[in-house]
Amino acid sequence: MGERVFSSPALVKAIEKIYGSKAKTVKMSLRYGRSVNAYIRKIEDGHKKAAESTLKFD
Amino acid sequence: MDAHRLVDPIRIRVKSFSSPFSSFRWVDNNYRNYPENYAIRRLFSLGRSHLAQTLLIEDIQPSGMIREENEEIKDYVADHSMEGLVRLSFWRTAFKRPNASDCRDENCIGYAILKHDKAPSRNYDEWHVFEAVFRKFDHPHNCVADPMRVRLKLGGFPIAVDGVIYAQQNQLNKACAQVALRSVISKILKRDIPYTEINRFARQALAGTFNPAIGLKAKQIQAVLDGFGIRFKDFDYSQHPYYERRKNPYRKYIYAGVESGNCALLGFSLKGPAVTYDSCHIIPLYGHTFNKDTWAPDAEISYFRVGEKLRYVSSINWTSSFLGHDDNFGPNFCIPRLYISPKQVLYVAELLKPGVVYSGAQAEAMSLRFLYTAIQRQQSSNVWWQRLAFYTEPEEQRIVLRAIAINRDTYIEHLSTESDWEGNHENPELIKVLSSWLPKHLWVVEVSVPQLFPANERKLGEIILNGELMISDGRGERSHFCMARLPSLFYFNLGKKKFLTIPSKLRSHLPVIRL
Repeated sequence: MGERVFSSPALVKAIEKIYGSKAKTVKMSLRYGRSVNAYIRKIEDGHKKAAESTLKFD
Repeated sequence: MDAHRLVDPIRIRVKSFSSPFSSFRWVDNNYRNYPENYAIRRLFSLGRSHLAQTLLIEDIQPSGMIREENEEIKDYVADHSMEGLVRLSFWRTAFKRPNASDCRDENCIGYAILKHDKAPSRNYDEWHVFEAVFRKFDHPHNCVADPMRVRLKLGGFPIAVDGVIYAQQNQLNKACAQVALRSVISKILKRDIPYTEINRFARQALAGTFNPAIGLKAKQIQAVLDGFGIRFKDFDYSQHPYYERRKNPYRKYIYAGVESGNCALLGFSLKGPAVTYDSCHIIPLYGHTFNKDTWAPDAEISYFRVGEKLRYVSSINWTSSFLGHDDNFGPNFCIPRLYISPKQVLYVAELLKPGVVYSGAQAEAMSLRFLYTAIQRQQSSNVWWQRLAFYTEPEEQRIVLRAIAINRDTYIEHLSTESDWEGNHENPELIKVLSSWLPKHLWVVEVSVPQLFPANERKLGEIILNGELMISDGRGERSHFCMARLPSLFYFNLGKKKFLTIPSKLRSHLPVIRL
């Protein structure tokens, strides 16, 4: 799994067939990677740790 | 699973619910418990609130899940006996005998099955609510996405009630955890689940003697959810420093769970000197209110912070209450969002839509990276793009995000049918391509701005994420990003920092997705 799933050449071809030269490829580096990854990881880690929870609901 | 709802009655009584009928007197005379059973009182209060005119009382024999429960209780309590079983239903019309014109879905407010168990060895002799389903109040501010349709027979007529199953513990084979699990799992799976199955999964989760009457540990709750194939993201606040209650608030888990038509579980400590820290109560939450005139977002907008320099406004700001049940007090309560102090909350679980593998809060955070980068980078003559750009500026960051988990077909239907404010529709040829390209299970993060979202319930675009990809499977969060639709422009992720852009016919705002 990974980026290839969504970089389907078939998609580009299908879209270019509809939009012709209006379809443009842009390159950009997404910002805030560190903050977002840390946040996402925190939820994952919290979930894993909850597997060891000793809470009891009665 | 529906046998106990479809069983024919052995006796039917019809009572006018209008004055001078007294709900208090009826409960006192027929289902009196010591101490008081507040949940039974609550059923009658709901009947009154919905302006019921008729109460139908059917004595029934145990069958299906109720018969199974009686057999299960015998395994734990040898001297158990069931002393009474009654099916109550509340009706909007007045009638003296059940008939086809009155006994229709739209006239039925709700029903309850009350069960009287006796176990002398446990000093137990009480009525409890085996189950109840009441429709939500008609007010449009009460939002319950994708309710369960419960089918049953009332007065000899087939009836369907839309709602969420409420159930009460009996301290014999079920406690608050089992009844909460039954509510949420039945809503998600759209089928009822017996306590015997819940207890079987719970028993297998831990070694040693199992007594369902004393409740479930978190590990057992997790095992039950796993057993029914329901994915979840949970958090035990007692394992973390206190500041996590602020940084990782329980409200985010609940809201993401209920907004997508799923549910959430909330565990909290009970106040009082006799209550130990490790003992807590758990309740199911399944909906929320939407208050477009809420003062707080305008005057003191509550940002959700992903990092020190990254924030947004969650649509939760316009939620005043969560809708849920409390087995101690009854069904269909509005539980004020800010009422349960973070100090009291010990555990939260966001239940995920089948096919989706990560949390709504994670989806919102992932969408921010694209949103705050792409909009600031791209110039556009579109006035709505410019407004969006203003709200994404680093010093502003007042974008409103609303994450909902839906399947591809629902999104395609939305994109095909909705139009922008000027009446423009999206290119059907493009929609056809998307319908064969997008993954089946999506997180759709709707993007809006203050005023447009609460007042009009409209949005400027959405970020589409692959909901099926495990967080650990992808290379960072970018592999989850499929595409974005923003005013007059689409972006498609081609990987390696490349994005394909094409014009969108939708140039302004669209209604948000309603489930």
